[in-house]
Amino acid sequence: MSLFIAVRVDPERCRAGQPCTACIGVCPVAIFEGRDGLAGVIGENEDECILCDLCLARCPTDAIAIHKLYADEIRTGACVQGSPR
Amino acid sequence: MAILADEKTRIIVQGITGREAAAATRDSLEYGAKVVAGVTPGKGGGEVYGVPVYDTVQAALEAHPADASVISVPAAFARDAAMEALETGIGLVVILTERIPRRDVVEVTTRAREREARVVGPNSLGLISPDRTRVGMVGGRAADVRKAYTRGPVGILSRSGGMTTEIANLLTQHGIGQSTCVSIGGDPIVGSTYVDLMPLFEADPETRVLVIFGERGGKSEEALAEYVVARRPRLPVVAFIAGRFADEMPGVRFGHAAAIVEGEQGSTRGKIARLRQAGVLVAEEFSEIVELVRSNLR
Amino acid sequence: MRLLEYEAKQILRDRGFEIPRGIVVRRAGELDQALPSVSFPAMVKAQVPIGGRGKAGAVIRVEDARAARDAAERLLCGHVRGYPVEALLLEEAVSIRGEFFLAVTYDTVEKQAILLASGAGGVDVESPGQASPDRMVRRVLDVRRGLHEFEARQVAAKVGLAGRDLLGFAGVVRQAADAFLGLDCTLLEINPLARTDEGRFVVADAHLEVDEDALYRQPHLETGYRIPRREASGRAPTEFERRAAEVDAIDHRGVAGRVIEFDGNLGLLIGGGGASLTAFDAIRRHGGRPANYCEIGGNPSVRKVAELTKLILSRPGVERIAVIMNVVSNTRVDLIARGVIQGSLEAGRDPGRTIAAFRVPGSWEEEGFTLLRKYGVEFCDRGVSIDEASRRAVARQA
Repeated sequence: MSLFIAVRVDPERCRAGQPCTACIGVCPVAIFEGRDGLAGVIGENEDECILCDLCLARCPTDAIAIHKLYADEIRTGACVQGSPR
Repeated sequence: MAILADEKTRIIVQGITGREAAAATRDSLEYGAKVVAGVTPGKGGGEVYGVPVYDTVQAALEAHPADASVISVPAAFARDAAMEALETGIGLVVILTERIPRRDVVEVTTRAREREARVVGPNSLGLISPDRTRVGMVGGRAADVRKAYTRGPVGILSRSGGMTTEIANLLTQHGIGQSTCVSIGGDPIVGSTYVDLMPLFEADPETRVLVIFGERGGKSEEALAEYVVARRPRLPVVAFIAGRFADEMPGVRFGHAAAIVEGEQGSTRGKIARLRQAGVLVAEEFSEIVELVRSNLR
Repeated sequence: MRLLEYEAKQILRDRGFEIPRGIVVRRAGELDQALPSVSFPAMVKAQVPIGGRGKAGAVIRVEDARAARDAAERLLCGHVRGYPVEALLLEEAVSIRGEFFLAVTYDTVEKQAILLASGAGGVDVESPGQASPDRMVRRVLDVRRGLHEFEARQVAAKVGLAGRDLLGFAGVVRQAADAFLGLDCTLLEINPLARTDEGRFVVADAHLEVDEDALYRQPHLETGYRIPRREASGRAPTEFERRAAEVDAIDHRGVAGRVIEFDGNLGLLIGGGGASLTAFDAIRRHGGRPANYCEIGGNPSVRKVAELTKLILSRPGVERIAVIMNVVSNTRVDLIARGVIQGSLEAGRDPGRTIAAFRVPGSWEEEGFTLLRKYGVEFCDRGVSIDEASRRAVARQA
């Protein structure tokens, strides 16, 4: 499992079934894939996350959360929008 | 003063819509460089970080006169892009693209000579006159550039793009600033060698010491030694030549494409000996550069 | 990319050069089929991508079929300076009345292609640089238009030829210039170019280096001549080096390969081009014994860096690694940190003990330093020079 980054998609919020592929299309390191109409996370790619926050910015329902396991920090769409990054 | 480029230099970027070129444009603008236009054939009419994009260099220059062009296009298109810049009369062409066929590079340098234009690179990260401008992408993001580079009396010429920033950082850490720093490119043939650029530093009153970072392979350090003997330049030259260990393994490629040695020619040891004979101050250890520079600034 | 002699000769023959009659043999068994088509005396030449084969005993003159068989069997199961002999060229010996040297290459200081010719070819001229310059005719070749016929005749005249020889030699000079440009060579060397008793000019040995960066527009080398891409190197890669190249090929992001094996005990993850040379020199200067050389650059994936870390740590006797780069702008500090920590953990090692030094300042350094702190890895910031970091790595190793 990943050591540094855990990417979580809240299935309740993810409306990939609508269909939406925003995170899959935007991720430069292929962390997301379509799974049963929802966005799934490819575990072996999580540590490749470059914290570009593009998925957080693009997700229309703020369904994605990025946990920095080494820094006790959780990044979500809501806080990215408020941050200077 | 500085050499090659200063705060007034107007820059265009060929291949501006590419990922690396776009990032370099954003960072250069943030650093204060005057990037006035970009060119990507077929993408004219667009914008990259507020910089207008044109289909041809000619069209870009009609709307935005410029002094320098940065080329960041795929290797197969680099010769054409450079020729396009040279035909329009641009005086400084900085080629970031790597892996350009050697024959194409020679065509470009031959044409540049005819046009009396200067080419830096290929396989260069560009150049910077700290606090004034940056042409290319050397040093990376603006915040990173400001950490490593400060304005001052030392000129830098380096065959390694990364070591251009490393030397500037070393000097900055010790309170010594830089006039202009040029990543001359890691390829066997580059548009501007030490010998081509040294006269510019000689004529720049701001520069008081020149630091060069050399590697094994090729003959450019030997040519610099000859130049120093023949011209007796006013500037003290401090050199660091990397790759001593590799002398024991001729024919094996280490470092840049140019850093391959055939036979005795181009060995690190040979270069160091020639430079020393010529009166160049060669640092044994990398960080010794600081002392050698400092003692020549007094 | 250096071509083997037989590959070079095949290409040159198709371009109109005169080549001795010969046949390529890959197994001793193939020789019997080949023998009837060859007349003696002949040469048996090991096909390895290095110079000085004659002096290494890899070129043997044979007077009859039996001697040819002996020579072939001996060469085919052996190595020449580390290279396994996978093919032989069995070639009719040329009756030589004169040996010439002809080469086209680039002058990297003048930034021009140059043509070199001399009336004194043979084994003593091992490279254009070593030939005695006073006897070498040298002229610039404009890469945009090639060589005019009259210019080729001028070269032949300067070499000291006259009459039919002048015309014959000039023809080869012109062909050589065309081949050099047309094939995107970085070196084309014909040595010796033999003048036979009948006054013909025959390519007795040929050395072609094709620009690796131009292979995309020379597809016929792979499709027509079946010449595979190969790395330029002065020796054959070791098993460790081959595995490192596999790691680098995992994906196309950045570089975490180009590894060269050494016999020390301190693993190195160093980069980029210039800084790797600087760091390696510094480690040795402080008495360290590197287990490898390498170059990390671009912005390699975490997986690649981790796999390279694991590979280096898998070598017997390698307990520690030093991670040293120049102030980075393109590569990201945090991603390199993730890679080496992940690699150490997957190798069953404690990153804090295993990583003897971590000196990679620059882009995303705050993030990287946070990560390194979390795993107890000692790191240096940009205030510590490459050689000081190298000294610390060696000191921790002791």
